Formats: sequence, C-alpha cells, structure tokens
Amino acid sequence: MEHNTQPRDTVLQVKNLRTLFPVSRGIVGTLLAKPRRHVHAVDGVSFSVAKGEILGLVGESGSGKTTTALNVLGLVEPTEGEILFSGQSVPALVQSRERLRLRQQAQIVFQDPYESLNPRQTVFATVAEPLEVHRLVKNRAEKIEQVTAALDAAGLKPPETYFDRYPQELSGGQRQRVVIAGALVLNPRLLVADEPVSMLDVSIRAEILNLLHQLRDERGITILYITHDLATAAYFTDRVAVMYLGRIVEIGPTKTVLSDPRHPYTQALLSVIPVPNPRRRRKRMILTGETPNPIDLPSGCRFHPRCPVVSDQCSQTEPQLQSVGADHQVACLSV
Amino acid sequence: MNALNPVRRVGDQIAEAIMLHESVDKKAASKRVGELLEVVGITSEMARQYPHQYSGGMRQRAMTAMALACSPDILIADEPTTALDVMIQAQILDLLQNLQQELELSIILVTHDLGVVAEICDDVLVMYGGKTAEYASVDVIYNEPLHPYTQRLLRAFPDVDNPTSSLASIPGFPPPLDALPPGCRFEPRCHRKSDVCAVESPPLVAVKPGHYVACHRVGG
Repeated sequence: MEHNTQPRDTVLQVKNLRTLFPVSRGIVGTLLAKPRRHVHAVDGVSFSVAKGEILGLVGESGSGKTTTALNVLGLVEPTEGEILFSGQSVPALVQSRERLRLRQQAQIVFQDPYESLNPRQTVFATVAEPLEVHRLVKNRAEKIEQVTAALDAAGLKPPETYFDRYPQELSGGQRQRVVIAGALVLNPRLLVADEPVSMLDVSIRAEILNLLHQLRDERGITILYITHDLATAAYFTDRVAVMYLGRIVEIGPTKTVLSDPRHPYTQALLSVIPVPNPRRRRKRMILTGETPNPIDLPSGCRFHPRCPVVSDQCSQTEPQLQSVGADHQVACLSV
Repeated sequence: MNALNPVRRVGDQIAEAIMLHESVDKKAASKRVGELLEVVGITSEMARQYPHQYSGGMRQRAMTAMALACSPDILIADEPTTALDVMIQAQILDLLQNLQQELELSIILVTHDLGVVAEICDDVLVMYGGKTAEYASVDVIYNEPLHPYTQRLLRAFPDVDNPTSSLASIPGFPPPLDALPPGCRFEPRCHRKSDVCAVESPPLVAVKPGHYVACHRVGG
C-alpha cells in the first residue's frame, strides 16, 4: 500500500496474506487419492496499520476477518504472505525466543466476556496473571500497583473494590472491562478487538467503545477492530476494510467508504444496517442466499453469484484492488 | 439458534406441533411441513435434514416455520435476529414483514435493538425494570420521545448516517429486580430526576392520544 511507507509509523503490515486450512478427505477419499481440498479462509489480503490508528475489519461470518486477526497475533500460521509487527515477521517471532515479547505487545479482547473469563478466578488473579507469565513484576507491592493502574485505566473504579470479586458478580460491561484491563496490564502496542461489544447490551456498548477510543488517544494504542457491524465501525474506526470470502473488497477512510461506498457488497451491507429512525426507512438491498462456502470458491469475482450488478466478465476475471480516490481502493470490475 | 433439538430431523420437529394440535396423520403433517418450509424460504427437501446441517439464518427460518405451523393469529419473536449477521438479519426481518402482510399476522417483537424496531414496528412499548416507561407509535418514540430513558437509549444507539455525534452511554446499571428502587425505577440513573422521583412511582399517563409516559417530569 502506498500510504504509510515510513516504517517508523507502521505498527502492523500485512502483505498478500493467505491462510488455507486442509479439509479432511475421509478414509475413502484418502484411499482414492482424491486431491486435497482447502478452506480458503484468507486469500490474498494486504493492509497496514499506523501507530495509534484504528482499522476496522468488517465482514460477515466466513469472510476471514477473525482468521486474519489470529494470523496477526501469531496464533495461526499463514500459508503464504508476510505479517510484519513493528517491522519484524510475526511467524518468525513465534518460533523465536522473542515470542513472549510479541505476546506482550499484541493483545486481544474477545467477543464474549461471559466465556473469556475464568469463573473461578478473581478479578485480581485474572489481571495479575499476565504480569506473572511475563515476569514483569518483582514483588507483590508492584503487582498490586500495576493491577490497580490497569483496572483504573479500564474504568473500574475504585479498583480495589474489584480485586476479590468473581466474574459472576459483574455485569457484562464490567466483565469486558476486566478483559480489557487484563490486556492493558502488559502495555501492549497493538490491541485486536474481536467483536468486543456484540454480546453487550446497547446502553453499554457505547461506553466500551468510548473506553477503547480513549485508550487510543491517551496511550497511542493501535487497534484492529473486527466486526460485522458497519454501524459501530462508523463511530469507532479511522479506516475500514470490508472483507468478503477471504479478500478485501474495499478499503479506505471510514468516512469516505460510508458516504461513498463503491463496491456493491459494501453498498448492500450499508443498506441493511437498521436506521434508528422510522422516517428514514430505506430500500434494503438484500442479498439472497449466504456467503458461499470457502472451499469451492466461485470463479472470477467471488461476489459475482450474489452481485446485483453482475456482468459477463465477472465470472471470468478476478478483480484486483484499484485506487478510486485518496487512500480509497476497491476491487470490482464495474468500478 | 439453540431452540431446535439437535438429534431430530427439522421436519419431524415441525410436524410434532401439527400432529399434537390437529388430528392429521403423519403423511398429511409432513406435506404441511414442506409447505411451511417453502413459505419461509427453505426448500421442502431440507425437512429431512438435522439442525446442524442448517446455517444460523436457516435455523431461524425453521423456527419461524414451526411457530406458523398451527396458523397462529399472533407471533411472538424474542430477539429473532440478535445472533445473526447483518445480511441474514435483514433477510429474516424481510421474511417477518412479508408474513405479517400475507398472513395478516400480528407480531410482538421483543428486542433491545432499536434499529430493528425502527425498521419494522408500528407501535413501541419501552420497558424498564419490569414496568412500562413509554408507549407510543414508532414515529413518536423516535422523534418526540418524552421519557428520559427512551431519550438516552436512543442516543446510545449508533446511527450510521450520522456517525460524528458521539455515542452516549447510560451511566449505572439496570436495577436488580429483587431490590427495586422505591420510587421511579429509573431514578438512580436519571439525569432529570427531582425529589419526588425517589419516593413515588410515576403512573402511566396519556400525554396525547396514543402516547403514554410514566415520568413525574412529563405531563400529569
């Protein structure tokens, strides 16, 4: 990508990432030596994220957004392509002694705070555990100090009152704050937030998003925000990448992409977001069917079987990302 | 999503409801199942499959077919789209709207998603702490809300057309239902409370024909 060429400012760079998972052929398939098939979870994705930037990865189930995130964190090994975190290759870091440093600097907040916390661990134990794993504190006083600071930064105030509480004593919003505190305690440079608010009540979503925003502003944490909800991405992100079946179909500044979506898939996604006002009900552009399975990919443009503006060439030529404006790229033959 | 029995065929589960309520034999019931599935947009051959062979959207369609099995007058849909992707959510909403028109069905939609409400509902009843806070037509609720809770709830909801205004969350938590505040149940979190709110529960009054509000600061 042409922007962010200065390596100083780029925290994360992903180049032509591909991740394929083999599909079991079964006994019969193996005996008949059928060709091995693959799930094309991520298939040629490139993007970069600058320091202190919030990039949204938006897509439906099966678009490859979570696999991309797991690649970035070094939790899944890519089949092809490069992932550079602060200029260093993530797959290489995972194999090296530097692995712990990567784990410290790149943290994740999962979707469901009801499941991602250990129900038998107190808040203090949960938030202190990363400090022990990474041997970042020398004594108990230091540990208490850091846990207090992390809980405070995550908006759990006064922090001491939360030390001995268990997850079941906390509301959903408070639990997600504990998860965030557990990530913050390591002072990460990159935070991957995988649908951090989709399990929370509407009235609480705003405060978690505002908290993440505040952490970016105050600490310069870079955030990769993964969601299927363009509406929260609109509030929260600086740039947004829309994914479909393992590829980025449109990427650009959030304002530009939302006000002037060029890819028919982005347009459809935008049109079905419920608008909270009955006077602005609009024609929903509902795509029929569901995302095809990523084993047998459609030929040409992956979106062509569901595309409302499909033409003959779409089933033959696979479109590449083309620049359509400042920092705004679209992969569609009709653009 | 988890409302279907995972070890029984989807068609048999729908047929069960029909055979329990109407004296029809198995053959007639399974014919009916096929028709119902077609109504909700699933090919009738899928009746022989198990829930795990269905996607999330299809399972929700199958649940709708089951609900329609005995030709009800009213359908209660409890968060029908919450666990679904946006595009599938739109498909299900579209289905509910079509059914409502074609079958003259009444629908009670239970949800926390104000966007979904604005898209398909005619009237809205906003509840808080087990009581009605405000009850009016969908247009009034969204454009002239009077209850402080309704007002704040609307401001907490992201609007993709107008993303610059910041999201405002409601401070505090809903009251525990075994220790409700003595007065208005929203009083501890309300930004417009007065002394009376802490002691007396506000009655639901009609401020205009068809617009009911339970708040001391509004109307009667």
